[in-house]
Amino acid sequence: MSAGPLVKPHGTPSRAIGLASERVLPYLLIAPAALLVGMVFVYPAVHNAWLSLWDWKLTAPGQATFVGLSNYVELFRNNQVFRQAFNFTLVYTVVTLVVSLLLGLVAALLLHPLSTTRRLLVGLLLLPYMISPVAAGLGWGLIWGREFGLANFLLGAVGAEPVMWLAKPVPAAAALMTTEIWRSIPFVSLVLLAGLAAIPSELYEAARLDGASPWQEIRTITLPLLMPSLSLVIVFETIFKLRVFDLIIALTGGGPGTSTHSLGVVLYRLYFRYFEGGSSAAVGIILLLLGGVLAFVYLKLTGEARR
Amino acid sequence: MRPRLLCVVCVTALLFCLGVGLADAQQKKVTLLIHPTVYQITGGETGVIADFKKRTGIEVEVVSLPTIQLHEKAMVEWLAKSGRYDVVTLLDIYFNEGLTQYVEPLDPLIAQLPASFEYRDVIPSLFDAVSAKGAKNGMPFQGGAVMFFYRKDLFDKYQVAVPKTFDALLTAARKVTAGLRKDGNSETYALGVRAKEANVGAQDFLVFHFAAGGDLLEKDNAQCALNSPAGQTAARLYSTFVKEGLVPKDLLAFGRDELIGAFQQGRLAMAAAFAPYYGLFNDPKNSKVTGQVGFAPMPTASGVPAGRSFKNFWHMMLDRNSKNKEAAWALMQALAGKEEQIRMASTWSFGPVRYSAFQSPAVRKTFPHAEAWGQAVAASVAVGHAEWPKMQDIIFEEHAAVLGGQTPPDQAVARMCQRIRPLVGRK
Repeated sequence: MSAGPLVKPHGTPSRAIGLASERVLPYLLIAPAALLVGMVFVYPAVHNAWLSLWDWKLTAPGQATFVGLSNYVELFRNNQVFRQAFNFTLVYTVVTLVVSLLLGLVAALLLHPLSTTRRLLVGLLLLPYMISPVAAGLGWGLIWGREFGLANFLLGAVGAEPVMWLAKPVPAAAALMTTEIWRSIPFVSLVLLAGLAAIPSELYEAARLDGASPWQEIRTITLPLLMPSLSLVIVFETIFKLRVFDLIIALTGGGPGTSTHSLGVVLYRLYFRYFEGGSSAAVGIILLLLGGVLAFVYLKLTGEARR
Repeated sequence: MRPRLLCVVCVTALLFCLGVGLADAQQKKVTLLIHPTVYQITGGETGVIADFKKRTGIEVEVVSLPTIQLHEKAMVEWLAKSGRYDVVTLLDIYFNEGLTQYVEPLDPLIAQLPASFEYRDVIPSLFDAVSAKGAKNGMPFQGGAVMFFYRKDLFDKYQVAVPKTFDALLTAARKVTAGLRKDGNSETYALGVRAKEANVGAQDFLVFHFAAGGDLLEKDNAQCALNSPAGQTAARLYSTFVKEGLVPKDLLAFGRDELIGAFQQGRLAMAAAFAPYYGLFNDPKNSKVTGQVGFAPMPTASGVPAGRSFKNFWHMMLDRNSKNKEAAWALMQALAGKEEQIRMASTWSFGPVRYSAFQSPAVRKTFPHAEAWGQAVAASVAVGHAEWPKMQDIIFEEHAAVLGGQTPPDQAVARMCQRIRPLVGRK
């Protein structure tokens, strides 16, 4: 009785099949996920980009006209509210991002390392993040009220004049940004806290042995090693802030006038009030590109910093 | 075997009956989309809608939303052909020919109305605002013109006469403000107008523009008519109100709720508001100034008919995709019915759409200004255009720039027309 070869020689059909299936298998395995992502993200985004090239109203869908990039040109050249909202969204994103990062980092450093008491504090810190933006907006609306608001009460207690928080553009923007920062700090500090926990304590011990000051520890150990967590927070928070909508609707309604309109509010207004499908799709694409570009730049910069 | 078969038959019959019952119950449920204030002046949860439920057994699900959101929600559901709201109450300013594809034409239903409905009693011109190509698309429900409200006690105290002209209005506002400040009252303002949201801000600008003799568009509807002496007068008047502190300091954060609250709390001496606000300002449950509320036609510029201001009416529209058209039509008939209209007008200051309601002794007893009100409605101006939502936002944005001190009044009305011009010819 003769036994067959234990290892099949190269070039046989079964070997070829094996190699092919090895190559195909990974694609097959990721296919369901890719299909899902394609269905829920890629297709809508591509379709939205396509729609943004048309002049069409929801109330007259049969009368759509292909206009190329005219919707974009029109928005940037002739739509004053859009231009104002574009600038406001950028300022809002930058200011709230920078302040939330700073305060979130301070909170994380103060809470690290986690003890039982600090765990309780983390639980409390999470509360603002658990509240829906609409509820937060309505609640903070009472704080910013001119006559009976807490903010003016506190100002009055120190002898300052009351401020018309929601009736003037700059105070309204400040009120909105303060509320957003209050909402963001828990997320920022939680992610950074997790990042801090992952830094080996031996590094600090070694630094202390070498006589490093607390500030030197933060600058040379904490911040560089926190960079992955920081980039994650920056990317997520940038996207969250760029698409701000519900908080604005609940707190200022986009006013006074149109001074606190964000791109999200303009998109809503174009689609749900004017039923302009093409223009609103263009705003959506601009928002997407803005988020994508900023995220790419951050990732690139933080990646280089890490290297 | 037989008992088992019998059991199966019985269960099937039971399920069938249950199904029929459920279907029947479903048929008898109507969803009504309505503005919160309008719902309130129908008597709310214990008013005519509740009585309709009791009388007919038809369930009415009430969904209430502020004006802009109501319009948006109605449009989204109509576009989706969901039939979500069987009856939508819509302001005539938002009606345009394009909407006829979503709502049921009412002429065939109106033709079959019973004589007891007294169809001819419904003010016929109101149907014009929701008619297209000769077809009626809505049943008039509630509305009126913006009227002038004032505090009788404060007018007596500071010896102010009810103003009939813009000059008299300014004099009255200055006199009341001076008196209040002298008495140490710095939180009560002379005049309440709204500028928080686009719809109310634009409306309240147009109130003064119309009272100055202006129109939204020229008579042939081909040109914007805001950049006119009337428009300039209205914008300058507002600028004076703000500069002299005659209106609330936080005017750009002062909307419908703030106006109602401030008047009820006695923090306004005068207000320009829709006629049905009379009931809210006088509401004994919530108002501190019950019995002190005066009501008169809007002051106007010289040469302009008394009470000429902004008017609009809510109309009930039957969704083309409603699954309960019969029940929905029954509800519409009830809400526009003679008895109900008189009851709502006399009890909750509802703005009726029937001649008989204005003439009713019950309405005149509880609402002594019914005649002035009727005259103001006749003299006032209604607006309506396919691009109204955009025009409204433009008017508001430029008006807000005047209130915020960023744009001079004359420049603001010029910019309104510059921006509205491209929209005028669109249908």
